[in-house]
Amino acid sequence: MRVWGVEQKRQEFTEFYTSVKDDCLRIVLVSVGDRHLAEDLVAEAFTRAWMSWRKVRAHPVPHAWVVRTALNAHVSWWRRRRREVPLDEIPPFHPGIPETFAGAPAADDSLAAAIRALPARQREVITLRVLCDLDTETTARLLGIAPGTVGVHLHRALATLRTRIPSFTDREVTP
Amino acid sequence: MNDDEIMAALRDAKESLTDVHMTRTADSIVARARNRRLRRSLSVAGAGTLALGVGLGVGFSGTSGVTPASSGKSVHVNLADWSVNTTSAGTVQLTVRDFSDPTLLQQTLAQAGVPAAITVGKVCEASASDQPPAGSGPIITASKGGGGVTFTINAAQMPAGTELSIGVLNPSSQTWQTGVSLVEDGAALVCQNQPFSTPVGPVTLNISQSQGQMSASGRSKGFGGPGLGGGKAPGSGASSGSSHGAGKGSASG
Repeated sequence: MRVWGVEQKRQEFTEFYTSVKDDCLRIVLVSVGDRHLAEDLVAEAFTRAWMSWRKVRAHPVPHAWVVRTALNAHVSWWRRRRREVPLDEIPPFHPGIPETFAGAPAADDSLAAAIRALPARQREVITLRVLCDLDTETTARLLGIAPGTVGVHLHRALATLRTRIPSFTDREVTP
Repeated sequence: MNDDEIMAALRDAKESLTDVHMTRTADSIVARARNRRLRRSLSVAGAGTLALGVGLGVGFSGTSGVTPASSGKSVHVNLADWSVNTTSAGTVQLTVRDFSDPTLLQQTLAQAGVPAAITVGKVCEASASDQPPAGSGPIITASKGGGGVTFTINAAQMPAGTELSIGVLNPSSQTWQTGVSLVEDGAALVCQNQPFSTPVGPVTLNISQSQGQMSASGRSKGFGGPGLGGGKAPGSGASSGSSHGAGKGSASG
């Protein structure tokens, strides 16, 4: 009988974390467009992964689990923010200081905004099929849908991105 | 562009982020999970396991270390730069005329029953994924008076395991600023050296100036996000540009 020790479990998680953390962060960053937020979301996802490590380690694609968890956490965060009461007038904290957040480098804002505006299922397909570079069958299995449905969602998502991201359109009309 | 080209462009967008790395270690992730488990255990165990709670308190190292005093303690500390006074209503009045000796201020607030962590040069709030539980009523109000800005703090409304994160910017200048947020012990914080422009907290304290009154609006529960204080602008408090020119602001639950 195999005894799964705490140290072994931790070492396994550490190896997993070290090998995929940056890739997960970059995928989430492309989707949310904010460096600090992306890191928070990925840290949260890895925290949940560690708390459910037995389940996550048995997942067919553990790093895809982390990315999905991070993006779902982002959806929850976004919903909470949308419930905020809008204020008619919010003066700047201090006029001498710019209001924009001068944080760490962010991903392409227009791309992140366009991905974020996609319907949930299309966004998941883009994330898993394109950014996580999974094949159609694996993506379908993870999402619990048919491979053909993955293709439909992917095609619609790409069509939407083509219309919303100027650089995607510009290249098409360039001679 | 056809579908393949767009997919390639998306992958390129990700690959271009080669200089983006997770700064947190696996150990910090594991520690965070451990703290969360402990908090859940403590909240389930309740007051009957006080001895256990004391023992587990060691596990929360890395938090401010501020220990709230008993709620009934009377504290009256009045210095030239700031004052901390408990009131008969059970609230704590913090009046700031100038920011000096933040360590002493933090200790004094703790004695008055207000767990707080004071940071100088940066303001901090809980990250999006580590929000504190919502409170049930008003926690803090801000008004101009007493030669500075007075915060009235109702610590009884602070959810268990939370503390105020008070950040001070430009403390040595004539127009210091402060941002206040509610954070949970052990929560991951997002800090910056300028005021919050996009509050993350589940409840925000946004002070605006309207019809000569400084008013505040927040979301439906508790208090979080940035609160705004102001500095001493000689001769013209209102022209200091901050939102404490007159009147009163509050965050309510």
